[in-house]
Amino acid sequence: MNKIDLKEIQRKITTSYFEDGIWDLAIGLIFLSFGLLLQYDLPVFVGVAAALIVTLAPLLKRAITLPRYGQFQLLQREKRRFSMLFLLTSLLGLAFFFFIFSSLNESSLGKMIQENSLIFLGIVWGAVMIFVGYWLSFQRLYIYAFLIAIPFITAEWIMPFPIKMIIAGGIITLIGFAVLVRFIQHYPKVNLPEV
Amino acid sequence: MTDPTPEQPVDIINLADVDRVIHEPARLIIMAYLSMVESADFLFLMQQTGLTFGNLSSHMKKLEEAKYIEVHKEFVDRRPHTMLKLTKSGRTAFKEYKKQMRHLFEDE
Repeated sequence: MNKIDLKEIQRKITTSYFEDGIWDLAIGLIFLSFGLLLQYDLPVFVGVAAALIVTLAPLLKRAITLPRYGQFQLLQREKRRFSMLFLLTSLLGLAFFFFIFSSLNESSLGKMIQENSLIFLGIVWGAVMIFVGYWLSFQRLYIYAFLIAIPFITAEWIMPFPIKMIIAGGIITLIGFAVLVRFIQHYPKVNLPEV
Repeated sequence: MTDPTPEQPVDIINLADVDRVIHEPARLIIMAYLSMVESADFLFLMQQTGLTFGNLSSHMKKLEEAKYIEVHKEFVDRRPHTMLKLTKSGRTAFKEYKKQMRHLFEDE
């Protein structure tokens, strides 16, 4: 019998949550709609994307993932860990926005950040996504961090910022779709008899 | 546990104490997976452990008889759906088993 590595089992269980590509699709759609909103000035894109993510993601999980891969409930301590992660990243994000847009910050560093807010926003977004990816063992998030940071860091260079955001969101959505197709091919539907 | 006699060296007695319900490799892997989650369904365990339906089903019954797992059966979308969960005694037994195994192979 091979060695039983409980940490590896934990990692395998956590990564299995992202194996179907549904989270990738959700992330891609968020940034795609953000780009479309900026490009066409149509807030409806955000509403449509939010509605799609909120309703479609659980529906896809139920219709595609459950009959092929099954489901699990995280341990209470893991749920607390993820809640803490969500709270921490939200607080960091809020603190950063407050720092950028606050007129209270008149230091030279503050001014530099305000003048280059898009670049710093890109770095912060990228860093947060890498941190979350590491925490959740969701390694594709590293690539997405890079894809999302590029439009912010390059701003209006070569092409407008919203177009770059549409491209980045589109690429992530396509990757998500490819992962989903691979998942469906790899895990056919299983009809279990009564146990 | 019985007291050691001249015919029974202490090491053998320690080995005899090993929980044989958990010690079986397939059941050990099922317990290991279930110890890492609150609960999991039958299909998820099948996919993760690589056990067949029959195998998992029979080991599940043995673990249930030992009261190490709780089995909840329901119908989801008119399909049978079975959720498995470690009981408190199952979690304790698994912890104890890990401790015993570490102790058994400890270098003096």
